[in-house]
Amino acid sequence: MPLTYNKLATYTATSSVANITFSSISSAYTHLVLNINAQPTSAGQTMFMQFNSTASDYSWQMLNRTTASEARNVTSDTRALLCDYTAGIPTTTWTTAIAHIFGYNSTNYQTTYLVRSGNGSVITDMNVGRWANTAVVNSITIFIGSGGNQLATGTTVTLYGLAKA
Amino acid sequence: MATYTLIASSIATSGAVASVSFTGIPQTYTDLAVLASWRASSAGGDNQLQMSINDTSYANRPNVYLQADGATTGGSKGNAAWIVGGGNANGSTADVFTPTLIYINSYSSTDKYKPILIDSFMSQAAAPPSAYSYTEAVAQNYENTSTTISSLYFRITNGTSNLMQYTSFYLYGISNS
Repeated sequence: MPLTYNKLATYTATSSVANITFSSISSAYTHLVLNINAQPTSAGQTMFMQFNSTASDYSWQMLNRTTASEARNVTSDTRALLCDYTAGIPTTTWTTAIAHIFGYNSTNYQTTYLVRSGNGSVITDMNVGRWANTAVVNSITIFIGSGGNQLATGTTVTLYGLAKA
Repeated sequence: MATYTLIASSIATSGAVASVSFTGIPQTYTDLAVLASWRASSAGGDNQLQMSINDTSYANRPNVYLQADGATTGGSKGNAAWIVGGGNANGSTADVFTPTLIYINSYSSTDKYKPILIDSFMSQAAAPPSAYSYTEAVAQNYENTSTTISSLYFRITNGTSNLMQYTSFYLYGISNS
């Protein structure tokens, strides 16, 4: 039986960047997995992703625990939540997010995702959501907050495909 | 580096199915992962997916679950743990299938229990919060030390409903070497 957790692409920021995009994603896999180790260049931010550069039709729900308390939220958005909607991702440590993306290559049902994320100093996070669109996902963009906030040097994102056979 | 190997898959390509079975699971991996996208054919907004281990009795397993719907957070500890979690049924928003990730640790061991972690999400109406839009984080335990896990069975609540067309289940073996 062949190995099926295939690395499709990886990116390490050698300087701060506004976003990281994986494009021309193959539709040959059953699911996608994003493995992120990131740091923002400014504090109090949230990390998101978008599919196919589309800024609409996302709804997500988060459940987390920060240093202060538990929190939850559910909303419609222009982005898919990856990590933190309350305390903000710190600039003084590194935050990981692992996202399982379901149905990305299906035109019969919408793309959904499950994310576990967090860091040891501020937050542990479980985020879930869907993109109300049945288009095949062929690109994913990861970014911090909005309006000029950036991913710091050293931020690494790897995209895996889980193969059918 | 851990490696995922696809052991088996079940995809309802041509219509609804009553259940999904994975039998004869090789004992050559350290852990198992099931990635499922499913939707029940029942008329209501939601229904529940059940999993049975090694037979079709759907016997109880101890579990703890944490659940949030955006407005409230809840959870419980109990024994009705054949339930994997709630998800979309055919009365919910069209074209939405519930993503479920099941991770079974040490499934081939003969000296310890097999803990199970489950994450799932049901998405309902476009205007949240909704009682039918919720996140579930579940922990269970297959409390059998000597018996390995060789088969898994899935169905909708007591077999009263089917898994709709396009439902998919993928079973992966994870090796730690």
